[in-house]
Amino acid sequence: MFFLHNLERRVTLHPSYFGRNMHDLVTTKLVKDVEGTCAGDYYIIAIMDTFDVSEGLVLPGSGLAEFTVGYRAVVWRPFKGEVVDAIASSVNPHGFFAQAGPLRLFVSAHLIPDEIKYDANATPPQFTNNADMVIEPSTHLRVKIIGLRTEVGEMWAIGSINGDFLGCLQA
Amino acid sequence: MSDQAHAPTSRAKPPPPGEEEASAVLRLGEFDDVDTLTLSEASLVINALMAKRRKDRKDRNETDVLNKTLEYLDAFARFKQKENVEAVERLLSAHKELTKFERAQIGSLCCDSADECKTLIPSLTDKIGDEDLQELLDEMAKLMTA
Repeated sequence: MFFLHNLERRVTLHPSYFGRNMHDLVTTKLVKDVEGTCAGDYYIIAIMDTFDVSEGLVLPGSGLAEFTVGYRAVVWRPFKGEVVDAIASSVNPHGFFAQAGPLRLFVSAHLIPDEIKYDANATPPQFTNNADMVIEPSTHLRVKIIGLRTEVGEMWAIGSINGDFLGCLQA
Repeated sequence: MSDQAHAPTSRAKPPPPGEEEASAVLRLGEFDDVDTLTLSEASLVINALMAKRRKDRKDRNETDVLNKTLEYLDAFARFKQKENVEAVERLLSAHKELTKFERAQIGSLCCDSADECKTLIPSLTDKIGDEDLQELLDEMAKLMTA
């Protein structure tokens, strides 16, 4: 789920940058440091603007000026139990990997309906129910997020397509 | 002695992880009342931001995450025209009984039937009637250009 979230961060600036355009430099540094990272539970996709740059406080001992910047960002946070659209990226006998934006999901063979079976002989290897549903790399799917795991800078998720209205997208 | 008169002397306890979920009950943790974006709205916002950066000749900072997200949005955003996205936003905001999360999910998943919608977004079950929901979905379907 995409959110427009207000966040805050402390940015330091080296004294050689003191002068005009300090706010611009602080914003640029913020963008370089924060955009595209995974802050624990969510991914910061893009920073829209900064709405509050505090006065710079010079840190004793290092001479760097510290600014507390409030900014608005487009953030993506997956929730357990949320249904998301995803694109299958690779298939193996134990299940398949899918990509939902920046998040990598794994759907285990146990959470795939019994009619859809792994077919190693097809090119490329795929999951199919030999009727209308085929899951191979770049298939569009609807997946329900069952579990999430976060570590510093990365997130992984487990998904399921075993449910009504989940699985291959017809469109 | 009031303990609000000075700065906090220790870091506040972070909210316990692992309790947030979006199943039959919505527990969004720190994201409870934050503005949501449907896939189409997010696509508009991010593309407008990139166009502005390109115009100002600033570095667009194309991170891996950003590129993956843009590809994902191109594939799944259902409403491509700005006017349609705004019209859908007006339709959805009219339903004040639903939370921001639920409105954005409806706008992103674009189900065909009220039954499908309530199955995929379980927290909706008691909040809106089937006829009202079906009406909303039909209105949205009209705005979906091929």
